[in-house]
Amino acid sequence: MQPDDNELNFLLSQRAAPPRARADLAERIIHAAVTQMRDKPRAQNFWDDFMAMFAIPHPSVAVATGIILGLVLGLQASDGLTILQQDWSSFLYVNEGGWL
Amino acid sequence: MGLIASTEDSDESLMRLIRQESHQAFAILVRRHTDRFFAGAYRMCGNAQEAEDMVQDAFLKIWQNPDIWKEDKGAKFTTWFYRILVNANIDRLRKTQKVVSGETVLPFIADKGSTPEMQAAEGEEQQRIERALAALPERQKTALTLCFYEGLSNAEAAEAMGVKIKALESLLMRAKTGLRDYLKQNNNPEQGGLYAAR
Repeated sequence: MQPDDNELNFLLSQRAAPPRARADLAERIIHAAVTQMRDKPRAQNFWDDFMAMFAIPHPSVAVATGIILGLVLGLQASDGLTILQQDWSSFLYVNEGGWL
Repeated sequence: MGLIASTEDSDESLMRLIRQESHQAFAILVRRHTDRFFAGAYRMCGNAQEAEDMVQDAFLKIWQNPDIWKEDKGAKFTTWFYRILVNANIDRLRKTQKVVSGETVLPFIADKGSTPEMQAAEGEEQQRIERALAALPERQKTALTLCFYEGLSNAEAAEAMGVKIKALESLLMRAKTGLRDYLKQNNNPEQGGLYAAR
Protein backbone atom coordinates (compact mmCIF):
# COMPACT_ATOMS: atom_id res chain seq x y z
CA MET A 1 0.00 0.00 0.00
CA GLN A 2 1.38 3.38 -0.88
CA PRO A 3 1.46 6.09 1.76
CA ASP A 4 -1.04 8.25 -0.08
CA ASP A 5 -3.53 5.41 -0.59
CA ASN A 6 -5.73 6.69 2.20
CA GLU A 7 -5.70 10.15 0.71
CA LEU A 8 -6.70 8.76 -2.66
CA ASN A 9 -9.45 6.67 -1.12
CA PHE A 10 -10.74 9.71 0.70
CA LEU A 11 -10.74 11.68 -2.50
CA LEU A 12 -12.63 8.94 -4.34
CA SER A 13 -15.18 8.82 -1.56
CA GLN A 14 -15.91 12.49 -2.21
CA ARG A 15 -17.25 11.68 -5.66
CA ALA A 16 -20.77 12.92 -6.18
CA ALA A 17 -23.44 10.30 -5.59
CA PRO A 18 -25.23 9.20 -8.75
CA PRO A 19 -28.70 10.63 -9.25
CA ARG A 20 -31.62 8.51 -8.16
CA ALA A 21 -33.38 6.51 -10.80
CA ARG A 22 -36.74 7.83 -11.83
CA ALA A 23 -39.33 6.67 -9.33
CA ASP A 24 -41.27 4.69 -11.89
CA LEU A 25 -38.32 2.89 -13.47
CA ALA A 26 -39.00 -0.39 -11.68
CA GLU A 27 -42.70 -0.26 -12.54
CA ARG A 28 -41.91 0.50 -16.17
CA ILE A 29 -39.64 -2.53 -16.34
CA ILE A 30 -42.30 -4.72 -14.73
CA HIS A 31 -44.93 -3.42 -17.13
CA ALA A 32 -42.65 -3.91 -20.12
CA ALA A 33 -42.16 -7.52 -19.07
CA VAL A 34 -45.93 -8.08 -19.13
CA THR A 35 -46.19 -6.73 -22.64
CA GLN A 36 -43.28 -8.90 -23.69
CA MET A 37 -44.59 -12.15 -22.26
CA ARG A 38 -42.43 -14.97 -23.39
CA ASP A 39 -43.71 -16.26 -26.67
CA LYS A 40 -42.68 -19.75 -27.56
CA PRO A 41 -42.50 -20.71 -31.23
CA ARG A 42 -45.89 -21.80 -32.55
CA ALA A 43 -44.68 -25.31 -33.45
CA GLN A 44 -43.31 -25.78 -29.98
CA ASN A 45 -46.62 -24.61 -28.52
CA PHE A 46 -48.55 -27.16 -30.58
CA TRP A 47 -46.42 -30.11 -29.54
CA ASP A 48 -46.44 -29.01 -25.92
CA ASP A 49 -50.22 -28.84 -25.96
CA PHE A 50 -50.47 -32.16 -27.78
CA MET A 51 -48.24 -33.98 -25.33
CA ALA A 52 -50.05 -32.38 -22.42
CA MET A 53 -53.19 -34.29 -23.45
CA PHE A 54 -51.43 -37.54 -22.56
CA ALA A 55 -49.83 -36.36 -19.40
CA ILE A 56 -50.98 -38.19 -16.28
CA PRO A 57 -50.61 -36.06 -13.16
CA HIS A 58 -49.74 -38.99 -10.87
CA PRO A 59 -48.86 -42.02 -12.99
CA SER A 60 -48.42 -44.45 -10.09
CA VAL A 61 -51.80 -43.57 -8.57
CA ALA A 62 -53.48 -43.80 -11.95
CA VAL A 63 -52.00 -47.25 -12.65
CA ALA A 64 -52.88 -48.57 -9.17
CA THR A 65 -56.46 -47.32 -9.43
CA GLY A 66 -56.81 -48.88 -12.86
CA ILE A 67 -55.60 -52.26 -11.59
CA ILE A 68 -57.93 -52.26 -8.57
CA LEU A 69 -60.94 -51.24 -10.64
CA GLY A 70 -60.09 -53.85 -13.21
CA LEU A 71 -59.88 -56.58 -10.58
CA VAL A 72 -63.17 -55.62 -8.90
CA LEU A 73 -65.13 -55.33 -12.12
CA GLY A 74 -63.52 -58.45 -13.50
CA LEU A 75 -64.49 -60.55 -10.48
CA GLN A 76 -68.04 -59.24 -10.57
CA ALA A 77 -68.40 -60.11 -14.23
CA SER A 78 -67.07 -63.62 -13.78
CA ASP A 79 -70.51 -65.41 -13.67
CA GLY A 80 -71.96 -63.45 -16.54
CA LEU A 81 -74.28 -61.44 -14.30
CA THR A 82 -72.89 -58.56 -12.36
CA ILE A 83 -74.01 -57.57 -8.89
CA LEU A 84 -75.20 -54.31 -10.34
CA GLN A 85 -77.50 -56.12 -12.70
CA GLN A 86 -78.85 -58.21 -9.84
CA ASP A 87 -79.53 -55.09 -7.82
CA TRP A 88 -81.33 -53.53 -10.72
CA SER A 89 -83.51 -56.64 -11.16
CA SER A 90 -84.48 -56.62 -7.50
CA PHE A 91 -85.24 -52.93 -7.69
CA LEU A 92 -87.63 -53.55 -10.56
CA TYR A 93 -89.21 -56.42 -8.69
CA VAL A 94 -89.76 -54.32 -5.58
CA ASN A 95 -91.16 -51.54 -7.73
CA GLU A 96 -93.72 -53.89 -9.07
CA GLY A 97 -95.01 -54.11 -5.53
CA GLY A 98 -96.34 -50.61 -6.07
CA TRP A 99 -94.53 -48.57 -3.46
CA LEU A 100 -93.34 -46.06 -6.01
CA MET B 1 -47.46 -25.46 -7.90
CA GLY B 2 -45.13 -23.53 -5.56
CA LEU B 3 -45.17 -20.40 -7.72
CA ILE B 4 -46.04 -17.94 -4.98
CA ALA B 5 -43.16 -15.53 -4.53
CA SER B 6 -42.46 -13.61 -1.37
CA THR B 7 -40.43 -10.47 -0.74
CA GLU B 8 -38.42 -12.53 1.72
CA ASP B 9 -37.29 -14.99 -0.95
CA SER B 10 -33.63 -14.85 -1.90
CA ASP B 11 -32.65 -13.58 -5.32
CA GLU B 12 -31.75 -17.09 -6.34
CA SER B 13 -35.16 -18.46 -5.25
CA LEU B 14 -36.87 -15.71 -7.21
CA MET B 15 -34.82 -16.60 -10.28
CA ARG B 16 -36.02 -20.21 -9.98
CA LEU B 17 -39.61 -18.94 -9.93
CA ILE B 18 -38.96 -16.64 -12.86
CA ARG B 19 -37.87 -19.69 -14.81
CA GLN B 20 -41.38 -20.99 -14.19
CA GLU B 21 -42.77 -17.75 -15.59
CA SER B 22 -43.66 -16.17 -12.26
CA HIS B 23 -44.15 -12.52 -13.09
CA GLN B 24 -44.67 -11.83 -9.40
CA ALA B 25 -41.15 -13.08 -8.65
CA PHE B 26 -39.83 -10.92 -11.47
CA ALA B 27 -41.57 -7.86 -10.02
CA ILE B 28 -40.08 -8.48 -6.58
CA LEU B 29 -36.59 -8.86 -8.03
CA VAL B 30 -36.91 -5.70 -10.11
CA ARG B 31 -38.21 -3.59 -7.22
CA ARG B 32 -35.50 -4.91 -4.95
CA HIS B 33 -32.54 -4.10 -7.17
CA THR B 34 -33.44 -1.40 -9.69
CA ASP B 35 -32.01 1.53 -7.71
CA ARG B 36 -28.77 -0.25 -6.93
CA PHE B 37 -28.18 -1.41 -10.48
CA PHE B 38 -29.14 1.96 -11.87
CA ALA B 39 -26.48 3.59 -9.69
CA GLY B 40 -23.90 1.07 -10.91
CA ALA B 41 -24.88 1.54 -14.54
CA TYR B 42 -24.79 5.31 -14.15
CA ARG B 43 -21.29 5.20 -12.69
CA MET B 44 -20.20 3.10 -15.65
CA CYS B 45 -21.78 5.11 -18.45
CA GLY B 46 -22.28 8.55 -16.90
CA ASN B 47 -25.68 9.13 -18.43
CA ALA B 48 -28.97 8.65 -16.62
CA GLN B 49 -31.02 7.78 -19.69
CA GLU B 50 -28.51 5.24 -20.92
CA ALA B 51 -28.19 3.79 -17.43
CA GLU B 52 -31.96 3.31 -17.28
CA ASP B 53 -31.93 1.63 -20.67
CA MET B 54 -29.10 -0.67 -19.64
CA VAL B 55 -30.91 -1.77 -16.48
CA GLN B 56 -34.23 -2.21 -18.26
CA ASP B 57 -32.70 -4.20 -21.11
CA ALA B 58 -30.83 -6.42 -18.68
CA PHE B 59 -33.95 -7.20 -16.65
CA LEU B 60 -36.03 -7.86 -19.75
CA LYS B 61 -33.31 -10.14 -21.07
CA ILE B 62 -33.65 -12.16 -17.88
CA TRP B 63 -37.42 -12.25 -18.19
CA GLN B 64 -37.31 -13.35 -21.81
CA ASN B 65 -34.64 -15.96 -21.26
CA PRO B 66 -34.12 -16.81 -17.58
CA ASP B 67 -32.08 -19.87 -18.53
CA ILE B 68 -29.08 -17.60 -19.05
CA TRP B 69 -28.83 -17.63 -15.25
CA LYS B 70 -26.72 -20.67 -14.42
CA GLU B 71 -27.34 -21.38 -10.80
CA ASP B 72 -24.95 -24.30 -10.66
CA LYS B 73 -22.02 -21.99 -11.34
CA GLY B 74 -22.49 -20.62 -7.84
CA ALA B 75 -22.42 -16.92 -8.69
CA LYS B 76 -24.57 -14.59 -6.63
CA PHE B 77 -27.40 -13.05 -8.61
CA THR B 78 -26.12 -9.51 -8.04
CA THR B 79 -22.60 -10.38 -9.19
CA TRP B 80 -24.02 -12.05 -12.26
CA PHE B 81 -26.23 -9.05 -13.00
CA TYR B 82 -23.26 -6.71 -12.77
CA ARG B 83 -21.62 -8.85 -15.42
CA ILE B 84 -24.59 -8.23 -17.70
CA LEU B 85 -24.27 -4.50 -17.05
CA VAL B 86 -20.52 -4.51 -17.68
CA ASN B 87 -21.07 -6.30 -20.99
CA ALA B 88 -23.93 -3.95 -21.88
CA ASN B 89 -21.65 -1.00 -21.22
CA ILE B 90 -18.95 -2.45 -23.47
CA ASP B 91 -21.54 -3.04 -26.21
CA ARG B 92 -22.83 0.50 -25.80
CA LEU B 93 -19.36 1.94 -26.16
CA ARG B 94 -18.62 -0.22 -29.17
CA LYS B 95 -21.83 0.85 -30.85
CA THR B 96 -20.96 4.48 -30.42
CA GLN B 97 -17.47 3.87 -31.77
CA LYS B 98 -15.99 5.24 -28.63
CA VAL B 99 -14.10 2.26 -27.37
CA VAL B 100 -11.03 0.51 -28.56
CA SER B 101 -10.30 -2.90 -27.11
CA GLY B 102 -7.88 -3.42 -24.27
CA GLU B 103 -6.31 -0.59 -22.38
CA THR B 104 -6.39 2.05 -25.05
CA VAL B 105 -7.55 5.37 -23.70
CA LEU B 106 -10.96 6.19 -25.04
CA PRO B 107 -11.28 9.01 -27.56
CA PHE B 108 -14.08 10.69 -25.67
CA ILE B 109 -11.70 11.21 -22.76
CA ALA B 110 -10.02 13.90 -24.82
CA ASP B 111 -13.04 16.02 -24.07
CA LYS B 112 -12.33 16.38 -20.42
CA GLY B 113 -14.79 19.03 -19.53
CA SER B 114 -18.29 18.22 -20.61
CA THR B 115 -19.55 14.71 -19.86
CA PRO B 116 -22.97 14.63 -18.21
CA GLU B 117 -21.29 13.15 -15.16
CA MET B 118 -19.12 16.21 -14.89
CA GLN B 119 -22.02 18.56 -15.42
CA ALA B 120 -23.78 16.86 -12.57
CA ALA B 121 -20.82 17.07 -10.29
CA GLU B 122 -20.98 19.83 -7.78
CA GLY B 123 -17.89 21.81 -7.02
CA GLU B 124 -14.40 21.85 -8.33
CA GLU B 125 -13.24 18.86 -6.33
CA GLN B 126 -15.93 16.60 -7.64
CA GLN B 127 -15.23 17.78 -11.16
CA ARG B 128 -11.58 16.93 -10.63
CA ILE B 129 -12.55 13.45 -9.47
CA GLU B 130 -14.81 12.96 -12.49
CA ARG B 131 -12.08 14.15 -14.85
CA ALA B 132 -9.55 11.87 -13.23
CA LEU B 133 -11.88 8.87 -13.47
CA ALA B 134 -12.84 9.69 -17.03
CA ALA B 135 -9.15 9.75 -17.95
CA LEU B 136 -8.79 6.11 -16.93
CA PRO B 137 -9.05 3.29 -19.46
CA GLU B 138 -12.52 1.78 -19.43
CA ARG B 139 -11.58 -1.51 -17.78
CA GLN B 140 -9.69 0.20 -14.98
CA LYS B 141 -12.61 2.52 -14.41
CA THR B 142 -15.03 -0.42 -14.32
CA ALA B 143 -12.84 -2.32 -11.83
CA LEU B 144 -12.69 0.73 -9.59
CA THR B 145 -16.43 1.31 -9.88
CA LEU B 146 -17.30 -2.26 -8.94
CA CYS B 147 -14.89 -2.53 -6.03
CA PHE B 148 -14.93 0.97 -4.63
CA TYR B 149 -18.42 2.27 -5.33
CA GLU B 150 -20.53 -0.87 -5.71
CA GLY B 151 -18.91 -2.62 -2.78
CA LEU B 152 -18.10 -5.87 -4.55
CA SER B 153 -15.26 -7.99 -3.25
CA ASN B 154 -12.28 -8.49 -5.54
CA ALA B 155 -13.49 -12.01 -6.33
CA GLU B 156 -16.99 -10.79 -7.18
CA ALA B 157 -15.71 -7.92 -9.29
CA ALA B 158 -13.36 -10.27 -11.12
CA GLU B 159 -16.31 -12.56 -11.84
CA ALA B 160 -18.44 -9.64 -13.00
CA MET B 161 -15.69 -8.55 -15.39
CA GLY B 162 -14.87 -12.08 -16.52
CA VAL B 163 -11.22 -11.87 -15.46
CA LYS B 164 -9.00 -13.62 -12.91
CA ILE B 165 -8.58 -12.05 -9.50
CA LYS B 166 -4.92 -11.30 -10.19
CA ALA B 167 -5.92 -9.45 -13.34
CA LEU B 168 -8.50 -7.46 -11.43
CA GLU B 169 -5.99 -6.54 -8.74
CA SER B 170 -3.64 -5.40 -11.46
CA LEU B 171 -6.40 -3.25 -12.99
CA LEU B 172 -7.13 -1.69 -9.61
CA MET B 173 -3.47 -0.98 -8.96
CA ARG B 174 -3.03 0.62 -12.36
CA ALA B 175 -6.22 2.60 -11.88
CA LYS B 176 -4.95 4.05 -8.61
CA THR B 177 -1.56 4.78 -10.11
CA GLY B 178 -3.26 6.45 -13.05
CA LEU B 179 -5.43 8.55 -10.76
CA ARG B 180 -2.44 9.66 -8.69
CA ASP B 181 -0.51 10.60 -11.80
CA TYR B 182 -3.46 12.50 -13.23
CA LEU B 183 -4.09 14.37 -10.02
CA LYS B 184 -0.44 15.26 -9.57
CA GLN B 185 -0.22 16.52 -13.14
CA ASN B 186 -3.34 18.57 -12.67
CA ASN B 187 -2.39 19.78 -9.24
CA ASN B 188 -3.25 23.34 -8.41
CA PRO B 189 -0.02 24.71 -6.87
CA GLU B 190 -1.82 27.60 -5.21
CA GLN B 191 -3.87 25.28 -3.09
CA GLY B 192 -1.05 22.84 -2.28
CA GLY B 193 -1.38 19.23 -1.18
CA LEU B 194 -0.92 16.09 -3.20
CA TYR B 195 -4.33 16.21 -4.82
CA ALA B 196 -5.03 19.88 -4.29
CA ALA B 197 -8.46 21.47 -4.43
CA ARG B 198 -9.11 20.19 -0.93
